[in-house]
Amino acid sequence: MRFSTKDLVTIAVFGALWGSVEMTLGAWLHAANVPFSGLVLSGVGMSIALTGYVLVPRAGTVLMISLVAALLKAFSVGGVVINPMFAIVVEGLLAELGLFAGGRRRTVLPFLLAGVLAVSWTLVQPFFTQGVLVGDGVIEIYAQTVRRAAGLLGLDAAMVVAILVVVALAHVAVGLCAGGVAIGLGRQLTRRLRMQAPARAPHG
Amino acid sequence: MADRLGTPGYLCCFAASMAAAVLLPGWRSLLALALAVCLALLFYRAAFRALTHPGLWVFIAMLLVSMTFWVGEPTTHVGSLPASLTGLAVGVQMSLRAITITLAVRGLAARVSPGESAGLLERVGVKGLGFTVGVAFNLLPSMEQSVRQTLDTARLRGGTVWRRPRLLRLAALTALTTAVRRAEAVAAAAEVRGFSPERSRPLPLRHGRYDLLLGLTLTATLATLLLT
Repeated sequence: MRFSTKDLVTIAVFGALWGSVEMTLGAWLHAANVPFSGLVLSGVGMSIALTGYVLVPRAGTVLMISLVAALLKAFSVGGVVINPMFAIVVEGLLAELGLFAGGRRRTVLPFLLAGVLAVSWTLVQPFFTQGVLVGDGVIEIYAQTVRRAAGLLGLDAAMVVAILVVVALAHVAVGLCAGGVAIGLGRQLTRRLRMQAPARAPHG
Repeated sequence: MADRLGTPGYLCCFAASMAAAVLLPGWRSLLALALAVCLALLFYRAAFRALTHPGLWVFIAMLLVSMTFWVGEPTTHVGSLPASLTGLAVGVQMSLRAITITLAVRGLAARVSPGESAGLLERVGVKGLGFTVGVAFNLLPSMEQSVRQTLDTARLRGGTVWRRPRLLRLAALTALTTAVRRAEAVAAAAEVRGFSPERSRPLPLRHGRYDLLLGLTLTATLATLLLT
């Protein structure tokens, strides 16, 4: 990853934005125990990071933005921040993978792919971290628990699968929105920056 | 004792605890936990704060209940409920592993600062991360001011940003434009002062007197645990 000084400060701006959203909105959502708060944060974060990619269209930009946001998140007041920090970095990696798979063109497809891949991580993260914590037995525990819960609630196994599919589709929808918002906002921002006169170098 | 350890020393503690937790099967996970507890007592007592978090114990309780009552093969009864002692034993082993990993991760997080983490990442190829994090941290107040000014301007013009999506988008765009313009000025100032990402040195790491000794001791301990 080789960036110019201007690229690095632009990355800093978007990393600071994502980091401040995580530190403020993230802390509030976590404290209020809002369901699917990870999905909301991930969607907002990806919109910001992918907007940054429109301005610095290089491999590694989104990952770098996510690293900056994760390191700023470490300064968050209270609460356990290791899980969100890890999630932010993995989302950055997955978004890079999406952009790479989409051919890194400045069309809509790579952005949508990156958004969907990154946001989907919020669905996988609990299983991944718990898998690391206790080993692969956690999958069996979840499978048996879902079976038991379905039995207790009188739900058909197909219904449980349908609920999971709906949750997964919600994640895909948020990912698509994040990609779409990013490319729209990024293009508008580029146009606006082109229209304005270049910044003067500061004196002294 | 903790003051005599540097970032490489803490990384060794983390790696040794993680390796022991993952590689020692069955009841030998007790040895992994013992190693993690010893390291935490010696070098990062702040890690024990993780054990006061209710979420960890709720997770462990759910693990034990599910392993005893519905995952393992029933071998006995608790009241009228069929229960599995084998399942309970596996649940306890899983919990030991979870506590070991929690102590290792929290210990590393407690002792290695974000600046040092940035320094470590720069050494593995993420050039300029330290500079970027520094700029990001310094930009936070001016960005907050810029967002506030944008929202105030929108309000003075008679719009409540949160109720009108188009206005919210315009406000975001204005705040972003201001932030990027400010970033361009920062980049120009850094270049004028001779900064270049290629020539920049990574953030320094703390080195402790006992880093090497601890690294060798932990390698030998881990090898003994795995081979015996």
